Amino acid sequence: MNRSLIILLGALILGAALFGGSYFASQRACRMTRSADDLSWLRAEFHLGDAEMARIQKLHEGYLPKCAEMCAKIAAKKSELEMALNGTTNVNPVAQQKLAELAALRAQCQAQMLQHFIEVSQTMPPEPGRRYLAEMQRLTLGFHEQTEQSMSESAGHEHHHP
Amino acid sequence: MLQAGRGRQHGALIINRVVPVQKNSKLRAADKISAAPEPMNKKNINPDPGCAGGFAEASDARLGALLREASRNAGPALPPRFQEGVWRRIEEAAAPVKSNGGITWLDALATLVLRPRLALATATVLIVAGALLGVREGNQMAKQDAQARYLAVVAPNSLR
Repeated sequence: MNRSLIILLGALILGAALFGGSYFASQRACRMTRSADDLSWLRAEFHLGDAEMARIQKLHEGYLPKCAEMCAKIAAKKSELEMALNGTTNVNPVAQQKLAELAALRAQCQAQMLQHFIEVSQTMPPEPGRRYLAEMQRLTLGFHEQTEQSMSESAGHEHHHP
Repeated sequence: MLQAGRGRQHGALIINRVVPVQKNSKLRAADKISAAPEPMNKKNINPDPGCAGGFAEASDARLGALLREASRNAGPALPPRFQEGVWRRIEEAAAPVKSNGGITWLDALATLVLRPRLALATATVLIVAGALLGVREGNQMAKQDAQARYLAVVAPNSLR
């Protein structure tokens, strides 16, 4: 093999190793230095000060028990639905009732969650508040929208091609 | 003893005539020849203008004498085939670089890469670029982690 080629390949490998090493070291160091607090994202993303963070922290602590309570109710209702569906080959009236109750609980929980987002957004300055609310709605409600949109698109596709 | 002493003195005189400074290394003798008043090249290896024909033998003999004297004065004996090695190195250094078609640019690139200043600059650029990209990527990942952590607390998966 040509000596120059060996030298260039060696330089290339060395360069790649230097680049990769510094890349992973920096990435690791950066992730390690970040705070593991639940609200750290809000502070960093929306550039919030200590006073705003203190108000949000209070709202957050008030919201968490309510959220946990709703989650427990939803989990219990899901268990009831599973029991109603267990061993049956069709959706019986009891299962339908449980599904409706579960949907109502989820809607109630979502409404409570959106209310919390609105309250949090109101503690922020106007522009970051609007951005926060839009982002939280996108992240929490967007999933269903995407699913529904994809399903309606596929249904429409089928209708166009009988 | 007396004769040996004279021989040594004579040898030292010959070397001093070529280059007055006495050096320690065995290779200095070859350097001294290349530092002669008239420079050597492929056509005229012998710097003596009176020996145009048979210059190789004459210069070989002269180099041999010089090296013998140098080795006697410098201390330990020269390694075997030292003289041939010296001539080979001189000829290699004087010979033009062989070009091998398409890989000339590769040799030029290798020479460029091997320059300490360029190699250091390249390594520095790579480290800085890697570190900057790593910090950027690490920040991005840390941000995503923090966002996911916040979402997991305020909006459990069953609601999304």
